[in-house]
Amino acid sequence: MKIEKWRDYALFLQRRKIPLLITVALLGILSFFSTGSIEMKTRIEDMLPEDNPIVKSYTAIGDEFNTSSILLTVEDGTPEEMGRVADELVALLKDDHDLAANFRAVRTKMDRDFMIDKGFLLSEMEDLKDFKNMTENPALLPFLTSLNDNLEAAWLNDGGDDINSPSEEQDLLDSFNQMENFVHNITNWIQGDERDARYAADNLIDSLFVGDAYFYSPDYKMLIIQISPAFSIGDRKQLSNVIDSIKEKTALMEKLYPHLVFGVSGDIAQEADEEAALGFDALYPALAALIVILFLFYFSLPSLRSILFALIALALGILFDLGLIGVTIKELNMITSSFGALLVGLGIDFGIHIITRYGDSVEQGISPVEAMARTLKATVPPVSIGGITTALAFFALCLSKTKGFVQFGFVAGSGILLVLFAMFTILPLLLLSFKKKAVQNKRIRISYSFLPAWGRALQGKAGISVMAVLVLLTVSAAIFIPSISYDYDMRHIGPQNTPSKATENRIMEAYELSPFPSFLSVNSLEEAEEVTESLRKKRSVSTVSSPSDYLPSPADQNQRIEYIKEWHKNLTLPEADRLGNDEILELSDEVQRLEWNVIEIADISSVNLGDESRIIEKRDSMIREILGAQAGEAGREVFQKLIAALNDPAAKERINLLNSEFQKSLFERVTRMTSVDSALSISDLPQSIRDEMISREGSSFLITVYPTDDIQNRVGMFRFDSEMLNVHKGITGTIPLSLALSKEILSETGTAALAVLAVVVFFLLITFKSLIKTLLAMISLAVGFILMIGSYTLLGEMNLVNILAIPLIIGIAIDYNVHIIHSLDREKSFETLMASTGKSILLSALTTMIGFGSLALLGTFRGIATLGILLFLGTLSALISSLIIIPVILSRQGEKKSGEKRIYIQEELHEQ
Amino acid sequence: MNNKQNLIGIFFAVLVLLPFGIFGESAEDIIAQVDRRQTSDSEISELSMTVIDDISDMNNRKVFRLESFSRKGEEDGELSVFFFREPRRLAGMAILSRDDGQWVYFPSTGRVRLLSGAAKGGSINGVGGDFSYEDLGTGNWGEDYNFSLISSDETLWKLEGIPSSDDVNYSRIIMEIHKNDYIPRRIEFYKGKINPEKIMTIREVSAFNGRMNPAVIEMDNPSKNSRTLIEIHKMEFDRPLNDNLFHPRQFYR
Repeated sequence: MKIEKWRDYALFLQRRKIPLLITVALLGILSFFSTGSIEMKTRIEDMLPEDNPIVKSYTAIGDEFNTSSILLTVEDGTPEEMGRVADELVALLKDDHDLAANFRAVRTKMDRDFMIDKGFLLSEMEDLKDFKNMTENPALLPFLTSLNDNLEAAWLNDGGDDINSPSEEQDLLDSFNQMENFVHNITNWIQGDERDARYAADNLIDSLFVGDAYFYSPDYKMLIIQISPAFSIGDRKQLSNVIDSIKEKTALMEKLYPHLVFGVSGDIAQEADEEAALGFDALYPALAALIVILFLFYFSLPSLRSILFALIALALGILFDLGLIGVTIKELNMITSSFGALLVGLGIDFGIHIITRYGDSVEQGISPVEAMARTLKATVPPVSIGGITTALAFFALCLSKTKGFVQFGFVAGSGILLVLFAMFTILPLLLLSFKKKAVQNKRIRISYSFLPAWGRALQGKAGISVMAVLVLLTVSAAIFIPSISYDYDMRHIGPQNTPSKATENRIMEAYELSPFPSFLSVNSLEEAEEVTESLRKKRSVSTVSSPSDYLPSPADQNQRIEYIKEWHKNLTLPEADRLGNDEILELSDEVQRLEWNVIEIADISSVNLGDESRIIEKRDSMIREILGAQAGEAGREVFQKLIAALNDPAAKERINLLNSEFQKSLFERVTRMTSVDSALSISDLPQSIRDEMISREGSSFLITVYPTDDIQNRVGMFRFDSEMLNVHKGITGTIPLSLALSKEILSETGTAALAVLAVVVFFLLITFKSLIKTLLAMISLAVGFILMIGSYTLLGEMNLVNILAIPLIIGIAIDYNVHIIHSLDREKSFETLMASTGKSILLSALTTMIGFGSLALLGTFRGIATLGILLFLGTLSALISSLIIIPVILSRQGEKKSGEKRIYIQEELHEQ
Repeated sequence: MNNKQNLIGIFFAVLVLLPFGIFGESAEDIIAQVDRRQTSDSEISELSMTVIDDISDMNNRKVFRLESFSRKGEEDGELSVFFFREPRRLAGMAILSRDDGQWVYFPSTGRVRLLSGAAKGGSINGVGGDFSYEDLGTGNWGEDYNFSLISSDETLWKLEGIPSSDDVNYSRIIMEIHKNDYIPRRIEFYKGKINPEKIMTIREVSAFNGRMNPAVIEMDNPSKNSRTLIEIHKMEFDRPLNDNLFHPRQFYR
């Protein structure tokens, strides 16, 4: 386009500034109102196609069940103290009525009455028979003898039940816990526990038939309170308020019990922490970057006012894009929400090219309109080529099947075009409407005189040496590329140093499970039972919470009822026998036998589970470290302590008292537990179980699967995913969704990259009309890309967020290369090219690097921080390759001669 | 019959008869040699066993070091006992197998336990990893299976074995035997028709006490995605072994 046309355009902007400014303001206001209809979608499922089976299942479960939770932990106390403090904490939470209104249910312990009244209906027939044998004579000695017989039959005599899965390991661990509690309680009583014998006997029986009162970790060093919220996890304001209030209460408890540790975790707490981190990441890195950029511009550019105008034009361009989103796709997700940073990174570059050249012209005394006309003539073609190429590259992503990619392609592509439009219309309008008064500028400015020297040097021998170093670096970087890995775990993308994450890590360590469960909704209890059984055999599954555990099939229940009724009918309380010295010795022998059984069961389990299993850990802590025939570190010696207590002649009376109460209490308990005449139905279940496992309509049932802590590594995560798929295709949750999205994105990345590349090559060929220039731009792009990925391989892994750097860096690098190539047609020497275009590119690159560097240094979201690192490296690589490759190659072709003055200004002056 | 038909007839006759000419030995002869070379009066070995529960996670493995003694029993049966030497927690644990039962000795408690239900096809709580007693069953292939020759090349015979006894847990096995030493290099164990349940590969053969024997044996279990590797460090044959070694009373000393 001829200079006259640009002059007419500049004059038009200057003369119609008032109506144009009003139009811009109106467009801005309209866009602002349109943003109101944009919905923020932060969940993984929002980025996958709705017909994806995992997404469909997840959405359906979200509609039918409440799967979110807040987990509170009490740690580092004795089990009794942690239980008492947990009750106090729950009371404190419930006393705050405003806070308690946000809870659907608070679970601190099992429903004891339910377990006593319905426990036998929930037991397998084999276990019922064992219970019957053990309680036939409910005194301590026959009970313990029978317990030992059952243990040996189940675990040792047949070569042992194979313990292959963590779920089976957990069952054995529960048995060890029950035995420890039982033995420990007897010892306590004999050694003078002041509570009455009946209370002690009831406790003993509870430890065997009900299990732990609270949700303790296997090592009894942690206790968990589970809260089901009455609000949705999408209600971000509410979740932050609730978590803040809960943290106030736990802080209060910390003051009362300074020796205990309190923690808050679960998906609700993590969302609240992420919300706070998002707020930090959105403000502080940007602020830091802004300050550094302002310093850079202050010492580099003639006018700070022009920088402000560029920022206004940029902000309006982004606002227009938001307005467009508001009337089209109406949503932003985790991927598309990064479009702002992307547009700032690319858009400010467009502005810098304009304000640098405009400022230089005005400084030379050229009139503003004339300066603007020349600036636009010089900058619109390369900036447009760079911008449109990048926009088309992003639009190519719309061909993808992944919803997140399609939306990102549309939002980023349209955003670049709108920012480009704003830079060519609003920025010139502002620069011409609010002209700077001519004052002497006394600021110290960076001269950038090294750039022409660099241009000159590249043409000499130094150019060859620099090129050789670049080739060497590129080859070295290329060697590292195959070792790049991808982090599939979405949980690594969020902030890692939050309080909820720290609590989550402690829970994982203590319970050896991940607090991020997967779910399956089934329509019948029969299906629930079948699936649950399969899940419990899987190596990647730690715990399964299933409705079939609480609602056995009618056939099973009827068989059990028949057996229990017969048992109940024949119940008789034998006459209490007084324990003499011989019987106490026998009792002591049975305790020793129990210890040996525990030792051997753990030994034999270690063949399958390895010698660092939870079983071995538990055995060694409750007894002592056992290394074959040798003893290692000391343990709690719970069995030997009881044996020592039994052997104390002074304890005889107390043993007899306990034995007598135990006999009565156990008889009463068995009588109550066998008083069952009807099958269990949904209405018999405690409210907390109904809330968790039965849908609001009562037509479907929820199975919750907790993976082992192995899912922290990639192999464990893939194993869990594949085992879940083997059991049922409908199993969904954070891990399956995370993997589905990552797999989809990775499989699409190759196709998307090819589409982007094809669009870029096609557009460059059309605009340059030169195969060599297109090839040069692509070589420079490829070198920059190799340097970026190769160097990043040494620093980290790719992930769902930083993979977005790939299209972005293509856009940035193309922009730089197009400017260099385009300027070569205009500039008469490499010195002048470097002084003008080189300076703009350097400033653009420094701005972008500062912006992304601030994210890398200050970003609390690991995904965002890694994106910052990658883009910092990418921009640096693009800068290096664009300022070396094209000048060095073209200077060797003799297309440009060194030392010529820059004459385009004179040519253009002639045109006037 | 014209010349052309004659030629075709000769061609088919050659095709049909050729294998017999090339194979030379029948399947029975080959498997008898395999059994003969695996049989000895007694064996003493030191070995390590690596159990990998999931081959996609090769770092997660359990390694056991064992010492094994075996010999023929009085009435044709096999007597064997192996002692765990490592890991330290299991050091001294022993498993004794005789025709009349199996016993486990726990050094941690000093007790000996008679196992009532250890089956031929199984292993005691995973001892042996993917190997069952049957898979390791030495010298009995000819008794348990009827073999036929499937193919032969310069170095290997490929045999198919169909069970001839009800004690066998597999529906068939495919065995590749090296012609030089009659030691199987690969055995596929089938339960179904298409995919093998387990695949045993002899990775290395070495001379122990002047006798060639598998030194590294790998067993893959594709359905479980698991693998067990046995490495034999030392092996002695035909040394006299005292009866007491194979009696549970040895543990009570």
